[in-house]
Amino acid sequence: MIDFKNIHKTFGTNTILSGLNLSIVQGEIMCIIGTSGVGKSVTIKHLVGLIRPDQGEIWFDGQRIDHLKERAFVPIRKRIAMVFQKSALFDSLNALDNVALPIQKHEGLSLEQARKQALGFLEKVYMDNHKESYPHELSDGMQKSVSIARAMTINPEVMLFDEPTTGLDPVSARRIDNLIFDLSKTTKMTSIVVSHDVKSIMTISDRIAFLYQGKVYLLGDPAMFSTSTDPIVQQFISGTATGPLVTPGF
Amino acid sequence: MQNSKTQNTTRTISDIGLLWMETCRHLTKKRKSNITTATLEQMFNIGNRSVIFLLITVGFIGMVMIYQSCFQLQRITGDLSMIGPNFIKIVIFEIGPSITGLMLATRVGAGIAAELAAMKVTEQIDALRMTGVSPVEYLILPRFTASVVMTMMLTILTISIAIVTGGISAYIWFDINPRLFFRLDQVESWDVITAVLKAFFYGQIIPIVSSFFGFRAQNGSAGVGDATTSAVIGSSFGIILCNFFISAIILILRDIIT
Repeated sequence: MIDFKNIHKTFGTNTILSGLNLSIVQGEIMCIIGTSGVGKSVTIKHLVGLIRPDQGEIWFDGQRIDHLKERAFVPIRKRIAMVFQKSALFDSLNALDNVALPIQKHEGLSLEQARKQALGFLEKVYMDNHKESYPHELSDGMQKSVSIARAMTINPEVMLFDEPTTGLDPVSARRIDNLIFDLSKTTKMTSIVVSHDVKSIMTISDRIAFLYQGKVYLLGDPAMFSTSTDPIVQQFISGTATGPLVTPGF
Repeated sequence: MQNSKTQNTTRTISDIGLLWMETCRHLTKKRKSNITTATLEQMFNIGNRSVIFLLITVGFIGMVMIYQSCFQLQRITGDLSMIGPNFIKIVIFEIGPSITGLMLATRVGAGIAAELAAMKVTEQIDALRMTGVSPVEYLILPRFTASVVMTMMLTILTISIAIVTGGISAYIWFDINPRLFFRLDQVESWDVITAVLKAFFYGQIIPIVSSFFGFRAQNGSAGVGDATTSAVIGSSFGIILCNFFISAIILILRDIIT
């Protein structure tokens, strides 16, 4: 369904992706993992045109999309939703209106009609009791939940989660994991989860892509990942400071 | 190095031009969203919240200008009978619109740039794009419309205040009769046209330049600071350039027509 072919991306003098190849199958939960700064978020942002590759091809549902202009990405973004790393809720709107805005825009409804639908999405993520709260009044976990509700409004075929559990306490992180898993399986949508939370990845993923030095270093299911004898993979799983794993900035 | 700086400047100017065109395209587009409420909110932010700041600033500028002009004129010719009409003329076509524009560039431009830059670095702009909402339509258009309307209204207000404070100081310090001061015989329709045109274009420059730098912000809170500084410098520079070109064009037109 989604193919990244030989993707290269450089910011200034900093090469992030250097020939990344990755295929994602419809309906699966694909987790992209790796150390900080390895290009996990950059990879998924390529898929919705928020970042453009320097070289390579990106295919979505049989259509090449890496060269599309900004306006041509609008129909793609109606099929692919994204939950941002820091939730990215609109400061000036309360939780209900954050969710109502895309409904109003996509379906051309009045604000009141959009709010009624938005409430349904907030109920799905158990945030209907906080519909009047503004982002600064919500905890990080709550903001993530509202952000997921907002992304669900377009009934996406693909959902991108950019570090959904980063910065959350363990309980909130597992709740978000459950939410992602349940949503993905009940709606049969494809999910791409960017994370470095090993516990979370093992729980929810169908397949794991381990990024290292701008490429996919290991691709396989959670069992294959956890039993890998590769010292780099093992160091990432164990989280030890010393070993062969080269981390940008260290 | 020099070549690269020139290329960057050219690119920035052309990108600002493209943003202005994109905003104008949205202005003429039929839309379903409730843009009026957002525009009214921005009119309040840009207009009402700037009134006191502007009135105090131009009030003092009017007083200082009259004091200095009368003081110097008294030393040279001693005839202050024409100070009022000439002061009113200069305030209408030059001082009023330009001081209003520059003051709004600092207050409103900085505010717009900081707000949009903060949204950019927290990925809210990307989130808007992902939800199918055009950031230009949703964020810039209300500020653009509000800024054009309010800059014109504030210019009328600041011109009036500068003239009144100038007249009062002329009366208090130089004993110039208000009847002699408040005369419009030097003011031509061209002066009024110039003032209207300047206010109209300054009202466009401020939100477009500020939004441009806000949208281009990167690297967290330092990026927000940089964007704000660039917005104020860029808007002020744009206003000064625009002032020069409008004044020049009007002078040429006036010569041709009259």
